[in-house]
Amino acid sequence: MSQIGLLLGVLLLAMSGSRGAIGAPRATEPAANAVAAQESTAATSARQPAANAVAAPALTAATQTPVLTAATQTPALTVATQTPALTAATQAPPQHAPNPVVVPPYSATIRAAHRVHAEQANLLCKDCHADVERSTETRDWLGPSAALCDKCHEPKHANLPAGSVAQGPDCAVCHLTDPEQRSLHLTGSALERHPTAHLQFSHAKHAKRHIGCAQCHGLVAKSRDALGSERLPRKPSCVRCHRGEGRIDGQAMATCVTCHESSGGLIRTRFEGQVLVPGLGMQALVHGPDFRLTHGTVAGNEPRQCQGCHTERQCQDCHDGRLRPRNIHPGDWLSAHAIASKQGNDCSSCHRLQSFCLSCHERVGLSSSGAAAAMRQRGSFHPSATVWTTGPRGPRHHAVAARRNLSECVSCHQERDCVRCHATNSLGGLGALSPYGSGHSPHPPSFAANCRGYFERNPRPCLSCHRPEDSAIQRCR
Amino acid sequence: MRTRPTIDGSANCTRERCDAQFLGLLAFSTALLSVRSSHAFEVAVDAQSQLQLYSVRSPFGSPTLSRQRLVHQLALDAQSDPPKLDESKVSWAFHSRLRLDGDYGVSSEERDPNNLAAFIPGLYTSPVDLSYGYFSVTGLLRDTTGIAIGRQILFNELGFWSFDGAKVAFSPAGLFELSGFAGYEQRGGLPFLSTSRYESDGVYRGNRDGMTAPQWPSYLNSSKVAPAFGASLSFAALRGLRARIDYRRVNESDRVVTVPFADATGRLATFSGSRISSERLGTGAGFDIASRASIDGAWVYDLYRRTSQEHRAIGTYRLSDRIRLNAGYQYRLPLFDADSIFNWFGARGNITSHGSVTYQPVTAFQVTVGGGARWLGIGPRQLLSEALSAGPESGKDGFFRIDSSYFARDFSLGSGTLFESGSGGKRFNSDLWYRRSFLSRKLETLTLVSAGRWENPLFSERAQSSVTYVAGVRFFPGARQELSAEWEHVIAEGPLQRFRIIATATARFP
Repeated sequence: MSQIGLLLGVLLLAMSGSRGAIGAPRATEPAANAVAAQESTAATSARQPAANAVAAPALTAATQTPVLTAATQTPALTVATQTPALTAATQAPPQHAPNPVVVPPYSATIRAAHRVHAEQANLLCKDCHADVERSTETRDWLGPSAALCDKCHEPKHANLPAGSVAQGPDCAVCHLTDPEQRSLHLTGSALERHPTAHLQFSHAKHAKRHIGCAQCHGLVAKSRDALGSERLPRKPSCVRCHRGEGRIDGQAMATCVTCHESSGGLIRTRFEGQVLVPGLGMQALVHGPDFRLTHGTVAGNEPRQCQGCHTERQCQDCHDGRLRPRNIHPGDWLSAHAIASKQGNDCSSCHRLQSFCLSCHERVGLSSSGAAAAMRQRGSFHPSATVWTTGPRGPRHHAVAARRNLSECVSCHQERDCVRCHATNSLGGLGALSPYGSGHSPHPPSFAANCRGYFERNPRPCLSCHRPEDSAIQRCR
Repeated sequence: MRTRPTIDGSANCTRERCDAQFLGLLAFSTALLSVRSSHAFEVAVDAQSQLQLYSVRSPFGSPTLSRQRLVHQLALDAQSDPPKLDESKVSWAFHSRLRLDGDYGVSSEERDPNNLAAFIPGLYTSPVDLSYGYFSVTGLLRDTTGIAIGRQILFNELGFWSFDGAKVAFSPAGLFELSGFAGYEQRGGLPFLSTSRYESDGVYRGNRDGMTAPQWPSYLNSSKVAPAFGASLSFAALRGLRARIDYRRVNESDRVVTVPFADATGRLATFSGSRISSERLGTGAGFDIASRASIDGAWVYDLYRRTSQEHRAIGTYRLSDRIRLNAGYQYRLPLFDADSIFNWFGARGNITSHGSVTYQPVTAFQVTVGGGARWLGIGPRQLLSEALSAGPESGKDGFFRIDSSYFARDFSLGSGTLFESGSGGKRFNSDLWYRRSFLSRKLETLTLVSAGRWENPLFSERAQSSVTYVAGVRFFPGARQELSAEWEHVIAEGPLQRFRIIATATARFP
């Protein structure tokens, strides 16, 4: 709000010539805000969040005033465009400027020579940026007000007569020219060129922890000009403390949403017309449509990369979720999920088969266990027994289906459904007495060579089908 | 007070006890919030309630299940203020999330162990679980060491997994991190507000307290704690290179039924003693190439089964600012709890390979076209010999997909279409969605239309086409509050109509 206040304060001071220079901008702030708010309802800035957008209509109005038109013809312009400060401001942003999607570029419009103020006038940062220690958001205007400048500089903004044209070399001492319009930035253009960064940043929080200005802004006190977006702190200076290594190692909170704008705990990546993508060297992290297939590998190799933006909660929302995510399971998934399972999709990455799947299958009669078994007389979910179990081993035999995708079987069947036939005869199974041929032994080819080790580490599965005195068990002991 | 048998979402507690625990955490949250102003730490509470109403009809026509699900989640996070520059770097944090997942459509018969004709083991009306709850301290020993104690979730080469215990991480100068943990695997049926989500499939475990022997089915084994330990070593010393090794072992300690058939005396044979449940070693690495491409791969070996459980690789290449290429490969063998016979059924793995091209002509629009193939019942050694002509016991599937999205200032539009066909069946689905925001993004609407069809390879007569539409609205009364509602209507062959209503309320404090 102080941003709006400053804008209209400067505007009104320049046009009204009201007295009381220091107090004037603050006195006009509430009224100015109200006007801006009314005007803003019609046109929300395309580049700004709602709170910032209220300045846009007022700025539009300001730039249409004759004031600037007249100013472009003043000799002061010539002087201003030749200053080193202006050159710096109008140069293309250096290569290492902040990401333009996160920090929309803008140029300085005030010739606030920091070095002069710091070294010759012995001013402290907060002498001009008085609101910094109270600022909690990036949209806060932290530059000095015109009234504050008037404490030292002439002419006083408040003394300018109403409707006067701002011109002359005195104005150009502070105000820079617009490189496109070749006019002086006299009315609110500072704000027009000062879009809000898409970041969550609290100067107050950092000041409270005694983090000095120079720690982030570097040698700003030595600079000869004001700061454009290209001179703002960049990510490396943030991650000196926000180290992005996950909570267990971090010195300061280091999730992406600690600094970036977020929505629902996820980093906001889309800003009107622009998309924030992972930077160079982070290609594997691009969350495109394929990411649902590949993210497990990325996260497995370096989980801390994920922890930069996501908490375990977001992982769990899918991997142990209670609400179907539409971007994973489309349309009529309840009907189609069985085929998806047959096609080898890995249900178990998010669902435990024997609890999530089985309990529902039992309830609707799709299992041979539990109460659902009573419904079996209604029909089978498998082909007829002569094809599925007792017949010769063909493409529709259950053994083939099990070899292809045993997880699918486990989502409906318990061990005892298998043991009933596959256990040895002495334990109640069909075993060697199987009338269905010799292919009933389910063991893989390499089993016999390694069975001793298997038995030593866990004998229970062996004892499910074999008696301890069986010769097969003796061989593996 | 009667204890319910539980398996999924298994809170081994009475309703009164669960409610008391839930309220206890709520009170704790409130207390922390109230003292926040006088201590140097920050507290955040996140509460969400979701209501889902829908029905599920058996493929046989009946029964039709009425799902009346109400999920409450309460997350509490607290952390000390970051240390000042001239202070010790030790800081602490506490993170927790409590979840109640009630399905009030479960009938009393389904929960009654005395009614064996309807009893479903593990079904519980309103189980509560502590998804995670741990306290961590970092910056110890000159900023090299951190510890975390409590219920934690681990994500590494071995997958997504949770345990109750302690983890210690040692990372000198950020060159590498060596961590170790010990505790108990989170399992269902244990008195720790736990779920069975993280335990291996295989033996059917749960809580049978309060049930007599005739009441519990022979496949319902009583859960006990499963000791687990492991270690990880990760490297991050070189920019653009990442590599890690993970090891984890879980042991069984319970008494388990071995043969599901009673002997002549009517007793079931059991086995007890410490034995292995799972033991795996995983390693992976990835690196970036010239800031334009990256390659990541991983390999997981099962030390009990003595075979590769998984290997996978993905690669991405940014051809230009507008075109991105992706490719991937994965082999996965389904493995189970070492107690289970399923490990020895000779199942083979499946292999999926996929590739895609993403074209983004403008920042607001992108389209991705991709496809791939999947081999079922095949090992990596057989891939070359059987890939082109599927062996008699392996299967092949091919899939194709196209996704697109367009994001404008006040609306977004997108579509996703998938077609997959092969020995596993045929499946087609196409979604078209449209979101629009109003009132300076305080209100958002969702419209989704979906068409699908599937065919079962085992039953040519079993196929179904369906059309679905969804209408939803989201309202953001404040920056940290959200209300949403969705209506879903499925119209399928059969004829079948299914409705689903979802309502969600979310609030975060502060």
